[in-house]
Amino acid sequence: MINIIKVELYRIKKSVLFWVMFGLSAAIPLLDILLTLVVSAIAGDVSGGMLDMLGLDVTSSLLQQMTTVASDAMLLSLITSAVLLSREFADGTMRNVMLANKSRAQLYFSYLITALIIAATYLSMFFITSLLFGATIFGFGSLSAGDIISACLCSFALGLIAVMFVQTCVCMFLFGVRKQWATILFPLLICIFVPSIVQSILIIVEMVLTMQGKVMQTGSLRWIPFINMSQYNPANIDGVIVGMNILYMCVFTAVFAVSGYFTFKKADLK
Amino acid sequence: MRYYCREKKLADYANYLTYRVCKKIRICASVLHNTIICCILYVYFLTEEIILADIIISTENLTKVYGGKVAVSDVSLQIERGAIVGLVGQNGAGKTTLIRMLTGLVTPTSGSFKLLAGQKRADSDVAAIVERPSIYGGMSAMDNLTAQSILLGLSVDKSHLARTITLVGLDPNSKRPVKNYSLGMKQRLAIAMTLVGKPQLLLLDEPTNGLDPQGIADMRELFVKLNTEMGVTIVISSHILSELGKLANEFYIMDQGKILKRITADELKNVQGVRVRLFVEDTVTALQALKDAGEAKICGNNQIMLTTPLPITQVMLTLAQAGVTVKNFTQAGDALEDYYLEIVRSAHSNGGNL
Repeated sequence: MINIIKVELYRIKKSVLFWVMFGLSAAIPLLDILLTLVVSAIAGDVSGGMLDMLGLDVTSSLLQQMTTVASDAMLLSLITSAVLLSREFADGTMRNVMLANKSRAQLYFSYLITALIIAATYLSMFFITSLLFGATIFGFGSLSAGDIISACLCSFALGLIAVMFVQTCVCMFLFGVRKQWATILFPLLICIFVPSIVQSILIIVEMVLTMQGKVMQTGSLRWIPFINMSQYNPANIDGVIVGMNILYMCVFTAVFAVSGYFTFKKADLK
Repeated sequence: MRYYCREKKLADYANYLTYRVCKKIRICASVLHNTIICCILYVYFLTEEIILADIIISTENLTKVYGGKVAVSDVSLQIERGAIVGLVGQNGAGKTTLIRMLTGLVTPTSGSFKLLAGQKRADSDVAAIVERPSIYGGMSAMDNLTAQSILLGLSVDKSHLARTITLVGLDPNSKRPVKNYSLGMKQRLAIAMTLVGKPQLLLLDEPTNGLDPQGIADMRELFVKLNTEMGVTIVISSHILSELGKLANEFYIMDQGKILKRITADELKNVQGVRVRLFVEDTVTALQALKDAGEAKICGNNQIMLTTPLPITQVMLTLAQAGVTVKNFTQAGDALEDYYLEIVRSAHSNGGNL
C-alpha cells in the first residue's frame, strides 16, 4: 500500500494541475483579504475603528469558511483529486497496480489516502495564508490568546473532517462509476448543491411556520447537517455545533467509504 | 525363607529390568516409526512442490459470462515454466478476457486459476500488457519506468532503467511526455515497463500492435532472448499468426470462449509440414517426382506449391535426381494459419466441438 501511495505522490508531484491548484489555494484567501482591504478603504477609515470592527469578523469568516464542504479549498482539492485519480482509470494505469499483486482493498484505500493528502495540503495552505495575512492585517479583535488558539485549532480540525467527507465522496464515485466525468461532476454537485438544497428546504419550512404564526427556533439549526456549519463561529465555539458536525461528517464519510469499496470489490476493470 | 525371599527379589528385579528394556524398545520403535513417516511426508511434499513449481499457470474450468454472453467457457490449461505460448483466435474468441482474468482485472464467474503455483509471488513476478499500453501520458519515458520501479518496491536504478528503455528502441534521455508518442512508441514503452521488475511471467495481449516491421522483428528477438537467457515464460495473444508461428513453441487455439486445441510447434510441423513455392522449368516431371514428398499442385506459370514434412534439402535432392531444374524457391503460406482455419472450420461444422 505504501508503494501505491508513493507512486501516486510521485505522479502528482509532476502534475501541472496540482501546482496550479496549490497556487490558487494560497492566492484565493489572499485575494479575499485584499478585496476586504480595498472595500474598507473605499468605505472610509482603513485604520483604527473600522479595522477593529472588521477584524474579528474577517478572520472568523476566513476560519469558518474552511470548515464547510463548499469552501474554496474543498472545491479545489475535489477537482484536483478527481481529475488526477480518475485519469488512472481513463489511461488504464490502474492496471499496473493490479498486476503488482496488490489487492482491491489496498488499491482503494491507497487512492483514498492520496486524495486526503492532496486535500489536506490545500487546506493547510489555505489556513496558513488566511492566518498569516488575515490575522496579521485584521487581527482577532478582543479574543484572548487561548481563545485564538482554540479557534484556529478547532477550525482546522473541522476543515480536516470536511476534507474526509469530500474526498471519500470523490473516491465513492471514482471506484463506483469509474468514469472521469462522473468522478468530477457528482461530488461537485453534492458539495455545492446539497447545502443549498437543505438551505432552501429550511427557508420553505420557516415560511410555512411563519404563515402558521409559529417561529422557528434558531437553536434547532444546530442539528441540521450542512446548515449547522453556517452557525459555527470560531470566536464563540458552540460544542453542540462542532459535535453534531463531526458526527454527521463521520457518518457520511463511513457510508461513502463502505459503498465505494464494496462496489469496486468485485467489479470488472477495463 | 531367606533364600525364598532372595529368589523372589531377584525374579522381581529381572521382571523389572525386562519391563524397562521393553519400554525402551517400544519408545525407540515409536520414534523410528514417526521419523520414517515424517521423511516420507517430507519427500512427498517436496516432490509435489517441485512438480507444481514447473507449472507456472494452471486454470481449472475458468468461465466468464458478461450478462448472457459467454466470453470464456470452461478453460482448463497448464502452462509450463519457460514456455512461449501463443493464444490464437479471432476477435471475440476470449483471448483478452482470459488474460484479464489471469491478471486479476476481471473476476471469473466460475472456476479457478493459479499463477506461479507452489511459489510465493513477489510484486514484480508477473507483468502484462492488456489491450492497450498502460502508461502515464504526462510523464517522460524515464519517469514512467521510475514510477513502475517505485510501485514494484524496487530501488530506482537509473542506469538499469535507461538500458531497458534503449532495449526497446527508445531514447532514455527524452523529456517528451509520452502522450505525444506514436502508438508504436507507446507500445515499446509498455513493453519496457513490463521488463522493469525482471518478471518470471509475461502476459502479452497484442504486444506488437502498431509496431513497424522492424519493430516487430526487434520485439520478437527480445522475447526470444528473455525466454532463452532469462527463462521468462511468455504468453502471447496475437492476430499476426505468421509472427506467432515464429515465436511460440506451444499454441492454444480458441474459438467462442473455448479452447479447441493445444498443439506444440513440433507437432504443428509434423501435421502441417512446410509449404514451399518452387519455380521449375518442367512442372509435369516435377509433379511426378514429388508425388511421394507431399501434396504438390501447380499454382502458376512454371510454379508448384508443395506442402511437405520433409526437409527442403531432401526435396531439392529428389528434384535433382529426377532431372528437374529449380530456378528458385520461397517458403509460402503459414502453417499455423492453415491449421487454425482447419480447426475452427471443423469445430463450426461439428457444432462447436472437435
